Amino acid sequence: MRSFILRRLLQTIVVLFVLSLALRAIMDAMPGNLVEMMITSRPGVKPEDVSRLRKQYGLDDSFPVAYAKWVRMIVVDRDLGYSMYYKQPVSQVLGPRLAASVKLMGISFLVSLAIAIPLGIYVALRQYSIADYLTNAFAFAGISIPSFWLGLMMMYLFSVRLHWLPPDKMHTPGDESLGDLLQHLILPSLVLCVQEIATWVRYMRASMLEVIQEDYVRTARAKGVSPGRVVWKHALRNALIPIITLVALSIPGVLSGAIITESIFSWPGMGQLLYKSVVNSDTPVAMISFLLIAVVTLLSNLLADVLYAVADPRIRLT
Amino acid sequence: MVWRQFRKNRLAMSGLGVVLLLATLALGSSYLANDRPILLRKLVKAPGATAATLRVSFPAWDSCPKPERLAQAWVLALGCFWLGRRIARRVSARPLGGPAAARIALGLLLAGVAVPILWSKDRLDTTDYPRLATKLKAEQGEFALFPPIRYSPYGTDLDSIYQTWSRTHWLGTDNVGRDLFTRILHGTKISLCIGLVAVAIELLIGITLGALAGYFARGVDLVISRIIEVFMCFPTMFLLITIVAFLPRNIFVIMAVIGITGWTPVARLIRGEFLKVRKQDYVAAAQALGASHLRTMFRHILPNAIAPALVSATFGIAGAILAESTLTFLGFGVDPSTPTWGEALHEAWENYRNWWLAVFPGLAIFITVTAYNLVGEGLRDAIDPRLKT
Repeated sequence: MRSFILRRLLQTIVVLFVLSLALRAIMDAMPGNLVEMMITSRPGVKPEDVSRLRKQYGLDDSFPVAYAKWVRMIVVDRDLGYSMYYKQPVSQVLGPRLAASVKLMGISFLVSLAIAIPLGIYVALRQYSIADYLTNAFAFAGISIPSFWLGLMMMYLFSVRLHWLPPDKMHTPGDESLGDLLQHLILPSLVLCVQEIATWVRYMRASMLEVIQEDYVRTARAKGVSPGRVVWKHALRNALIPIITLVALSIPGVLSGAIITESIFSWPGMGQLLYKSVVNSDTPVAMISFLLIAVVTLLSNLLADVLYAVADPRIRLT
Repeated sequence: MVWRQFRKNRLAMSGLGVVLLLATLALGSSYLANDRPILLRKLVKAPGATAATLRVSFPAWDSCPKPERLAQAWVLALGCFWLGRRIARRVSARPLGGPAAARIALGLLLAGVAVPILWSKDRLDTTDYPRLATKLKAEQGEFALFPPIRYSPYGTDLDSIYQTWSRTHWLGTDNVGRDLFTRILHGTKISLCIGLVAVAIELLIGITLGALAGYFARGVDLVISRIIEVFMCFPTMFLLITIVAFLPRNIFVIMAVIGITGWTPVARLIRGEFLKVRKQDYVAAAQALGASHLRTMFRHILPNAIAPALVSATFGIAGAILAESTLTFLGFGVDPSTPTWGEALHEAWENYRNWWLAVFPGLAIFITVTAYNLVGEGLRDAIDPRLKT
């Protein structure tokens, strides 16, 4: 197990290296750069100033040199860079965005889990009942519906027509109370929940249905274990194994934010930040956010494998 | 066998029905909603001639871009070919040579249809047909057959912006007075096209890399698996946006980008299948008979390994359609005059008080994606009942 984790971590580093190289190359190929951005708003900049600035920010360096400098800045100097667009260090830009994303995504993640897993179990135990059909129909619609359309429709219905809920942003200006935050949370997290529940309920139902037909469940029933105990003690532990993987694999989504949902509801999270940094060619922010998401993705892949082995002792990691 | 299983699945069959209906609508959109007549018979005076003669032209067909005309003609040709073969089968048990002859005939037919279309020149036709139609002289035999809906997807009409649904505009009009129903109908074409092309690219990359990794295993597998991992680490949407941000905005770029970012599931599935069968007897037999690596991979193993990838491809079409509409919705897609569903929704986002702008294009996407998902699901159950959920 330990050697497995170590080896995977090593592979992760290699993947990260390749990924950051590719990212850097893509970002360099994008039109517009830092110096151009600085001089567009100031007329009368002399050409020698431009070349001095280009030199200062390392735009004339060859690709390997620029890359090496960038890595050194992050690893050795512990400096994530400076965002010209926000006129702030990257770490300061990132902090509040990260918090906003985690709030929105975390809540919808937890709510979805709390609904999807019991619901999945419930309908699996009553296969082909009305509840089962309804849940299936809901789940199917949930995975097919475009999330931005769902968001638009909800915004139109609840904010424009009924005036029940605020349409966008995280706070009403000047009001930082918890109640206000919760009100703003409802619509975007509802959109996210629909999709997450739809996906998870299908998996939970399928995996529970499979487990419940196993011989050992029948044995447990035959020897007189109470129905509740059969489900909760015997079946559930096995049925949860694939779900654990699935949930672990969707953790990066919590961080990267749903760009679409965040854009529609103007939620100031990671998704929106990434979107804006790409649009405004704010390379320092984009690079760090991309890498952050990549690290979390790779780690949660690893976590999924490890949890898999922990939950199911039959699986050996080698 | 798969087809028989599939046919039993009523939901999947209705999904397939919707998909076929959409394909028909897509191919016929230029003849269902257009401001140009399908058929026009008009007196034309040839230079030098004394009397005008009646000439028949097909403005709607002429105004379609070349690829669209080619698609329409090929589908028609295929239909005729299929029908002809069925009739020939009825007449005799072994009609006109064997399958080889049929294959050659089909090839000739498709090529014969394609050549004049590819050779023809695109002419810019700026005739105002609705005006022209009012001036036609019926008593002299002039005649125009218009599509049932007489709007062009590009035709703006600033006198009738933001109208809700009515008899004249079935689903209302947008911010420059274009008919929404027409635009949605023409959007079908683009959405389906994007789905098919993007998935074809996904399959091409995914099958090649997956087959290489699974067949050679070891070092090759290690490298390709890492490449797959690198691509998986990206949130797809961001990769799409980053690439689209510095490429020219056109529909083919979008298709290519969606294909290039979406091949990892196919590659993983194919790799897994190849790893499973690479040690089986029939593979060893093929190699012992002197088949090259390429031949073994693609002639012997692939037909046994492709089923899961095809299922994933069906879901991929749904995914590609969603991805395109999302990109366009966020403002990264095709240029705004192109009638796509995402574009319509993008406009709806900017003025969301006009509900019909958002409801109908969204419904179109929803229905299409659901249909493809149903087909994919039916296909999966038919191919591998163990995976049934």
